[in-house]
Formats: sequence, structure tokens, C-alpha cells
Amino acid sequence: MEVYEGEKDKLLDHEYDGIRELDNHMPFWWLWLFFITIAISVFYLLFYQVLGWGQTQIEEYEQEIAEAEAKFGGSEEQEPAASFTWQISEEEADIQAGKQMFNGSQLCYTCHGKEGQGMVGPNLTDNQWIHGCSPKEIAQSIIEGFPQKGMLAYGSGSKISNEKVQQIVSYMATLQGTEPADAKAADPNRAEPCTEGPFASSD
Amino acid sequence: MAVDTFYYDNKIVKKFGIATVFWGIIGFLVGLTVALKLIYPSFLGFIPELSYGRLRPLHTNAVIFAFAGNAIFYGVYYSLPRLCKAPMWSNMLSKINFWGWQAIIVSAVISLPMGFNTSKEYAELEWPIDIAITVIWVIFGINMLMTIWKRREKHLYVAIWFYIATFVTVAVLHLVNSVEIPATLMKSYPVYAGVQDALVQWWYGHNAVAFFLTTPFLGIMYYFIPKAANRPVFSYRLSIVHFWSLIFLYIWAGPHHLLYTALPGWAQALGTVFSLMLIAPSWGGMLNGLLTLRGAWDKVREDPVLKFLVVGVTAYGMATFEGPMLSIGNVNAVAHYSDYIIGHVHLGALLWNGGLSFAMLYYITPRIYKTELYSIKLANVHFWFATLGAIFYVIPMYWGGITQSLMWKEFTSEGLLAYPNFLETVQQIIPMYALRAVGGTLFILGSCFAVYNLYKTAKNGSFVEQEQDEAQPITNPTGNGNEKWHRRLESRPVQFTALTLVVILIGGIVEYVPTALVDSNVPTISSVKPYTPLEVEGRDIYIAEGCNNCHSQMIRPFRSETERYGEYSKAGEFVYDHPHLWGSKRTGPDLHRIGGKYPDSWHLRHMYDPTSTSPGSIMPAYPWMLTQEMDTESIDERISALRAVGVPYAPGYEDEALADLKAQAKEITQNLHQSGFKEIDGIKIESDKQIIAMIAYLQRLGIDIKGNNNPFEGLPSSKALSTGDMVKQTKN
Repeated sequence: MEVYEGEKDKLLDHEYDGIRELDNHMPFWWLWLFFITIAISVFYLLFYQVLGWGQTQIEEYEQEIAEAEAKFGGSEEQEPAASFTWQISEEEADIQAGKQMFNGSQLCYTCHGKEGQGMVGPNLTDNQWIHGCSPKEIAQSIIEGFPQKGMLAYGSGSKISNEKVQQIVSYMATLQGTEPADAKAADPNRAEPCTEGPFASSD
Repeated sequence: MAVDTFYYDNKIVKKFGIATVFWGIIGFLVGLTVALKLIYPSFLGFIPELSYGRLRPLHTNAVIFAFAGNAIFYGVYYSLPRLCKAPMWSNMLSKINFWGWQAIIVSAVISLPMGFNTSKEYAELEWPIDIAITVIWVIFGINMLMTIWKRREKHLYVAIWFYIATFVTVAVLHLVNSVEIPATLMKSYPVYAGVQDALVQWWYGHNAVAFFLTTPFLGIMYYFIPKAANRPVFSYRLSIVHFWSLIFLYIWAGPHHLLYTALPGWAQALGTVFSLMLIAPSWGGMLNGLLTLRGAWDKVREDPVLKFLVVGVTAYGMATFEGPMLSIGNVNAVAHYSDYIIGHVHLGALLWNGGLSFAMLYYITPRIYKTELYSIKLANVHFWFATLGAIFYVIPMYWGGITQSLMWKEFTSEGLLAYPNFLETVQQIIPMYALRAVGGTLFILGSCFAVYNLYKTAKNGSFVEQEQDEAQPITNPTGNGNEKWHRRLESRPVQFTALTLVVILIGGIVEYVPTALVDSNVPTISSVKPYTPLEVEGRDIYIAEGCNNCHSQMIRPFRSETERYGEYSKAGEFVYDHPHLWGSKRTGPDLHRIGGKYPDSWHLRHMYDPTSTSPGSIMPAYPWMLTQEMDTESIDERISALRAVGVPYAPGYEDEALADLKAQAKEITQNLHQSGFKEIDGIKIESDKQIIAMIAYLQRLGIDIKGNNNPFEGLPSSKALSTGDMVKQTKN
């Protein structure tokens, strides 16, 4: 073992397979690190467990929920889709908002394609509809979904207001007759042509 | 004074060295395979034996027990006799240790892909293999302790302290965690359920890291750093303090894997503070290693052995700082369940365990072959491949993990989840998965250079089977003069081992016993009922397929989780879960409240081809569940075994279980047929196939708490459950 001049007085007398050991002090900052973590730990246990000053995880959760309710309101029921007056908006802002939800948070695109051309789900750009083509019927299809076929309520996205569903339906109206590439053929056993309403004008 | 001449057995060292490299490369390659499957789910096709959920446990087991395990034996069988100045006590036991351990690994390589899996992380092997592990580990322990007993060096060097702690603690961990009741030859159920099982599992899981991947490697570090640097160990006192504090504190830290779960708050708090107190003891080891190199850093620039040791010890220091930080509640809330943890463990596994193992290989091989290393340059290239590989692995995992976790938690300005579709958060980090695979590939390439280099070294040298050494016997075994207490203890291996045992038992006992015995820790929920036989079968398939590798069943009390998944999970919901399936990683979403969320047909289509319901999903497809028959033959044995571990099935129910299973399966199948799913791609949907049991189990998950669910209603058995209020009283 190489031992330097200043270390010789610290060299312990034993030797293991040639390995020697020095009797240096433990680094002081290291000792203090140890003491401080012990002190913090004692404080932590006292604060949260013994004295009960800190919140439990359930109290934290309840506070988080209360704060969210104060900010966003409780989960109040919105007007049922059946009695809501469903219209097609031609406002660019509504259509763009609808497009964003269609191709984003509501996940319509994952099954119907970014252009509505149809993938796992049916084509939304042709004149063929399975569950009706009035704005109200389309909105209800979105709101209730067809879970047996794999489409969940609100298109697997989160629950949104009727006004927002209406924006999506409005965007869908702009897709009519666009004939995108790779459009999926309609299922002749289930789909029927749309004869009236804003979705009837395509073809 | 007479001097004894004796011989060290290098043959066993050589064997363990070859096994280390061999299993290392295999373990890394399986890791790369599962990494690629996350980028290309159809990589290697959808074959049961090669599916992600079965290969991932094989990867973790191979790297921990085959690579690091053989490396531990390699280091111990080389350093221990030299430190004791005595050959290993029994060459026969050495051989049994070696071949037994390899047989256990081979049995894992066969049984895990076949779906024999207990689901308990790093303890996935089934009960017959558990027994074999116990036997071989005890043989290793006897061989080690007897070598120590017969030593010619009166005092035990610090490396040996760590070896003793390793042997003792791993034995305790393995025995306690593996208490299970066999149902069949390759299927068992743990005696612990739910919260208790989770606590025992993570007491084990965390301390597998502590006493299998840390303490033996610290012992190895204490031998190889001073030897390779030719410098005395920095501080004997630091060795003593950090050794005892490390082994005492480490054993308490397990609950930090269960923060914000249904584990009682006091146990979580202990997990947090004991992790925090571990920083200094862990760093004590790093400091003693690095400060030993004072005045020898010029050697580090040249010697690949020292390079690997230094980067290893440094990675150890980083990982053991990161661990306590991850144990703080609000950090854990973000990092847990994400890929951050995967990055964290690989920092330790690749550089600390990997680095030290390769350092040993580069140190020992030339010495037992009486030659020089074939190419220092190639070893240096390996060093850079390993280091860069680890960096390319770890940083994308940190980045991806935090990104995804923040996406899970993000709300819109209207208070809605910003990414309600879990899949979006997965797709966001796929480029990070790709980078990680690049990092892993670099690491493997480096390891291949090592294989070549070591092979050439061995070729160039001549193997010394028996290495001669000589030493004086201990002349004064009892007389200790005026030695200090610890110095005296170092010459008393029996007392030393006993004291180690006491020190490591305290934490486990304090945490486990109240959790098991004090009722208020797991408040009962009367509406929670045991699983029906079909659901048991489905659950066993879930376990066999390793679904818990990607899906948790533990909704934490955060608004972002209750919005996404539903009500947070309660301790009382898991009382019949032998084993618990809380999981530790969310590559896919949590499944605790999946029951009733989707129709049966959705699960059918999703399991057959996940992309049909979730385009872009990286979940593997399970087409074989539609064609493979479920196991109906052993359902009676499994019901009996579950009753033996405490599930209140009525006496004799095992004989009626099959009829109940078939009736429930028939009903689900009929419903599927009625909703238009008589077949998929020409595959008939039939009631005896695994998919039906899987659907039954998934639809049962997390629904009991919602009300008076009676899962046994409508089934033909007369009496399924033995507890009074659980009898089918609604059947009028």
C-alpha cells in the first residue's frame, strides 16, 4: 500500500490481504448531514403522526376537492340533451373549437380519423348515417356513446357541456361531402341515407 | 512460529465470472427486448411466452439474481478466502452453490415465460423454486460462515461485515416474503392479503435493493478499491458507523414504495423518515470509497478497473440521494408510477452493480490467469459505452417520466383533466422509450467488448487453478488486550452475525406486526366479498400474464386520479387479495375501478387487439386468450388453498366451485353472443376460454364498495361463503 508521509500516524496496525486502514475522522459535514436528517425525521414524525398538526393524506385530498369545487363549481346537472335546442353554428370560433375537441381532448379522431374519413368508427363525411343525422341525434350519439361497439360516452373524453357538444356537431357539419382520402365505405346493412336537416345537403 | 501453506480455489471464481457475464448479457438482451416492445408492441409477434408481461419479470430476475447474484458470489468467493487467509471451507459446497444457483436461474428462464409467476416483484418465482433458493442460499451461508470460522486473520475486515449482513438479511427477507400455501405444483397464494401483502412485498422488494444490490457490493467495493488503487481505506471509524447505521435504517424504508396508498399513514411516515436518514449512511460508503482514492486519481485516469469502480461508486451516491428525495410525499406524488423510477433503478443497476461487476472481472481475470489484461484500450472503450449507455438510458426515462406524470395531473382552466385519454400521455413519451433503447443498446455493445477482451485475456494467460498463499494461524483467539468494543466484536463472528440479525429485525417487526394485528389499520368494508371461482381463474390469468407490470390497482387520493379513475382505493377493499396487485408502474392506466366501466364486448375486442378500441395503444394483444382454455381442473385446489390463507369460502365449496365457474362463464358468453360477438376473425367465442374468466375478473374490480354487490347470486352452489353476513341471503 502506498502511504503518504502525513498519513503514517493514522495508519492502523492491522492488515487484511495487504489492505490497510487509516483512522481518519469522519468528515464533519457528513456527520452533520446525518444529525440534521435525524432531527428532520423526529420533527416530521412529531408533526404528522404524534401531534397531528400536519394533514393526513385524506385531509389533503378533501381540501383539494373543496378548493376545486369552490373554483369550478360542483358537478351540477346540465340540461338533458333531449330538451336542449340543438343548432348548427356557422361561427368560425365555434367550428374551430369543435375541431379542436374532435381532434384533441374528446378523441373522436382516434376512431373516426382526423378528416372524419372513418377508421375503426364509421365515416362521418358521407351521407350515410347509422344512428340518425339530425343535430339532436348526432349530439345524443356523442353524449351517450355506443359502449357495446366501443364508443364510450362523450367519445372517451371527459363529460362536456351541451354547448361544447354543439360545437363538435357544428364542426362535423362542415365535414359533409368533403370526400377525404381513404374514406371508409358505409356499412349497407346499418347505414341509411340522410334525407333532411343540415346533414342532408351533402352528396 | 509455524506458517501454514494453503491454496485458494480459483476454479469456482472462474465459474462465477463466466456465469456473471453470460447471464448479464442475457438479462440485458431481455431488457432490450421489452424496451423495444414498448416502441413496437408487435415486435416478436404476440406469442404468450414472449409477451411483455412475462418477459419483464424475466428481465428483472435475470439482472438481479443471475447477473448481480453471480457477481456477488464471484466477488465473495474471490475476496473472502483472501481476507480470511483460508480457502473456502468446502469446495463441494462451493460447487453446489454454483450449480444450484445456475439451476435456479434456468428454472426461472423456463417458468416465467410459461406464466408461472407469483406477481410479487423480484419474488416472482413459484414455491418449489423458492424452496430451492432457500437451500442454496443456506449452503452459501454455511460455506461463508465456516470459512470465517476457520480463518487465520483474527479480525474481520469491513468487507466481511457486509457479506455477513447480506447473507443474514436476504435469508430473512426471502423466508418471510415467501410464506405461501401451494395450490398446485406451480401455483401458490401468499398468506398475506392486500395491505399486509403490499407491506411485506415492499419490505422485501426494497431490501432486495438494499441487501442484494447494495451491501454485498459495498463489501466488494471495500476489497477492490484499496486493492486496485493500492491505497489504505480512508476511515475505519466511518466504516463502523456507516455499516451499522446502514443496515439498521435500510430495513425500515420499504413503505416509501407505498406512499399515498391505502397503507396506514404511520407506516408511510416511517418509510419517509427512515429513507431520509439513509442519505448519510449511504454516502458514508461512497465517501470511504472515493476518499480512499485521495492521491491516486492519476491511476484512475489509466486503469479501467478504477474507472468502473469510481463511476460505480459515484452512481451509487447519486442513486442513494435520489432515493430519499423520492421518498418525500410531494416528490413521490409526481415520480411514483412513472418511468422516473425505472430511470432511478437503472442508474444503480447499470453503473453501480454493472460498474462494480465489470471492475471485478477486469481485476480478477488477469490475476487468475497470470497475465495482463488483453487490451486496456478496449476496456476503456467499454467504459465509455457503459457510461454513455447509462446516461442515454436514464435521462430519457427521467424526462419521459416527469412529462407523463405532469400530463396525468394537468387540469384545464375549466377544471377538467387536460389529457383524459391515458393513451395521449403514453404516445407523448414514446420518443423517450426509443432513446432509452438506444442507451440500452450502447450498454450491451460495451458488455460485448468486455466478453471479447476477457476471453482474449484468458486465452493469453495460463489459468492458476489453485493459488498458493501462506499465513500464520491465529495464536491468541480470545485475548483481546485493551481493544475497543468494536474491535473485539470483529474477532467474534458468531456474536457479530447475531448482532446483525437483531439489528435488521427491529424495523421489520415494528412496521409489520401492528399492521397485521391492529384492526384499525385495515378498516373492514362489509360490502367487499371474495371472488367467485371464475374471477379467481381470471385473476390467476392476470397474474400469469404479468398485467401488474404495467397496470396498478391503487388509486391514490389525488383529484387528478379520482377524476380519471374514480373513488380512491381503501385498505378494506383488498382483504381477499392474495396476493395484492397494486403494481408499481403505470405504463397503462390504473385498473382498480375498471369493473363496469366498459361492456364485456369492449374487453373482448380490447384483449384480442387493443388497437381496435384504442388506436395507437402499445399494450400487447392477447389473441391466445380467445383460443386457450381456462384451467378448470385445479379450481377446487385453488379454492381450498385460498380458504387456507383466510378467504371465507364455505367448507366443501371447492366441490361446487366448478359448477359456479361454468354457470358464470356461460352467462357472460351468452351476453357476448347476444350483443353480436359470436366470433372475432373466425374465432368462436366460447365459455371455456380464458378470455371469459379475464372479463369476469376485470368487471369485478373495484365495484364492491359501490353497494350491495353479491357476486355469488344466481350461481348454482348452495353456500359459497362461510361468514354469516356473506351468505347468499338475497336469493329469494
